[in-house]
Amino acid sequence: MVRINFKRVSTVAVAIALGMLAHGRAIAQSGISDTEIRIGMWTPLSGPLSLLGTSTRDAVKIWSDDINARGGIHGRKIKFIAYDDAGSPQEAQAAVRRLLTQDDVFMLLGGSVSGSTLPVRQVIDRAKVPFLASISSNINLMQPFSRYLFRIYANEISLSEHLVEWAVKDMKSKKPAIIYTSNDYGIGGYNAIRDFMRKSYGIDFVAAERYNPNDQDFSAQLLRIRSAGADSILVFSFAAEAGIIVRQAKELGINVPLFGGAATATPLFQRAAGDAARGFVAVYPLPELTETSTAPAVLAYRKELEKLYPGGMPAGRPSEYDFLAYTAAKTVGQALERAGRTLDREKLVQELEATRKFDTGLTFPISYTAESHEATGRASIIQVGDDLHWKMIQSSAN
Amino acid sequence: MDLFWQILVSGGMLGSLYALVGLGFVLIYRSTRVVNFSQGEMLMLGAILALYFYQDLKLPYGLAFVGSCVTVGLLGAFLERVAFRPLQRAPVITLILATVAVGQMIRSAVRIVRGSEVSHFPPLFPTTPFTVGGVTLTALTVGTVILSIFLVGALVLFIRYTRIGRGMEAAAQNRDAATLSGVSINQTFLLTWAVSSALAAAAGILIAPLIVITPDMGIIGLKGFIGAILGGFLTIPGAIAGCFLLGIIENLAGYYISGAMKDVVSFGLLLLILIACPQGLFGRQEARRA
Repeated sequence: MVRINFKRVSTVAVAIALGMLAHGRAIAQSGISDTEIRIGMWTPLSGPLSLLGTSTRDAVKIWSDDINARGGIHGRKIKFIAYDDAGSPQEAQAAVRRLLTQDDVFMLLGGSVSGSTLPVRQVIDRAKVPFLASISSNINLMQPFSRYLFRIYANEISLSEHLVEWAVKDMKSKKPAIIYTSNDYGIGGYNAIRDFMRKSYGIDFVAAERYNPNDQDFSAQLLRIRSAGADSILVFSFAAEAGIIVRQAKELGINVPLFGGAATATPLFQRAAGDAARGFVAVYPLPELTETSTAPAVLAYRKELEKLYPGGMPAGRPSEYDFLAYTAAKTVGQALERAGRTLDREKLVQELEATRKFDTGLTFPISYTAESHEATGRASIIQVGDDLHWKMIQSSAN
Repeated sequence: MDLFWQILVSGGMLGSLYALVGLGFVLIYRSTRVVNFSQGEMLMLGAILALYFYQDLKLPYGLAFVGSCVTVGLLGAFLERVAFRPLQRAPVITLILATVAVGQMIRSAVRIVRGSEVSHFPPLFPTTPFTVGGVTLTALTVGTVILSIFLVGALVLFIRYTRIGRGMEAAAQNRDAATLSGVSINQTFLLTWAVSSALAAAAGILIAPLIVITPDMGIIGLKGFIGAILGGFLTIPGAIAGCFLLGIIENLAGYYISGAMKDVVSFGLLLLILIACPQGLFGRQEARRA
């Protein structure tokens, strides 16, 4: 039998641990060399949320390939490292740790859905590594304020405010009802909308119905809404569920206008709702529709994306996450250009904060200050037309 | 009062769909003592295949329906042969785990082939609502319920009056006695898997126009499982009644208590019922097994 000398083992273990600690510190210092800038990403590349992640990764890849083909930024090429978190918080934590310690990235870009971004927020803040988020719209990502965290589009509160304004001011709804999902997205959204509606218009929901994620029958909730005499229904849920809700509402003879949060503003919604989708209104974080827009910037991006998929464009692409991530990458690019050859993370933060009305033509213009790292509060209102495609009906001025 | 009937009717419709899925669980369990957790994935696969036959290959609905059920039934038989039969002598828990594994494999495979895409099965009947005695209905929901009741009825007749069905029943009641009277257990099990997989596929096709098709849609299968336990997992009429009851309880709780509390109330009730009568509401004492 082998005898183990515990004293020696523990000494060795302590030494290894210290060594790893020192090593971790030593490498997590710069993220750049004379010839490269390492940019890291964790994002859902597999699983049900993979559309978001693959869009985000492809966009940054298109940008970095383009930069590198032109010789890099101030002599440094972009080394882009992306890991799959499958939308899981645990995988996200592992991936971020790896990016920060092993890969020693200079900054993080894109990120994951709110559920897999909020848990790593503090780690990133403590490591003082800049992170520009292009997927998560959760208000808590930016609260409390961190010098290192930036977001590329309107947060869920701003988005919801646009929606309420549209429902109450434009649709003249006096007795709105809401149906929302029991998770962070639904409950957070519900609370924010309720407060905003009370404060700005003195109106309360006549019915506020909650359901559980994975529910597939909503008749009880819809009947309560019907009994309450609602004159409009806000569907604050993900596209697939919203599709069932809209259909079941019509099947129960509910004919009031239905409208939805940003999560329903995707072509998936019509695929889930079928014909019942017609007339549905949603808030949308971009000034251009990804599917149908013919804006020059949109056409140019689509062409680049087609090069990545010579066999044919995957369904639903380019998505809004393509545009958001591409704008995020370009926002970083212009900040790096201005920062010059002598570069560190603090300097990148300063230059990002100096970004004013930076416009890629794909999203609303990006502005940051030292006090606000929310790029914009603007949003659009879109509606499903008779041909079952989304149509732009209103784009906010500010 | 109208509203009460509306809730009851909506709940009953939901229950008829649960019954269709629930019976698949019951069939396999009765013969093999395995709770087949890949039943939900079979359901999903049925819906996706039917959609493919109907929309992409432009087959008539009836053909798409039967084609999908047969394909999924064959897959069920294939899985029994390669995955479950080799585990016949393993503890039941191993088999149950194997069904979970198979379910995950099917779900991931579908996701890889189709992406996580959401699709909607075009409704077979009109969805314009009409009112009967204060209850709002659509031809789609009524048609779906009639079809599922028809399917459940056909299955009950199949088990009672065909040779294969009686073999399944015999194996369910007493494996050794069934073997002694000339029923091939292997063949019976194979058929049981095939029939219950086909049934799951049928359930998926019927449910699909009412919900959405995603790789995760099989979750609804769990409700059928729970409904069947509620009524009595070993008796077919009990399981059917339990599924109807679950749908109605869910809707009553959702309306009179709250939508978010729906599951808390219905699962709470399930626990109470099972504590009071462990065989399920309509279940009998389990037949003595050799």
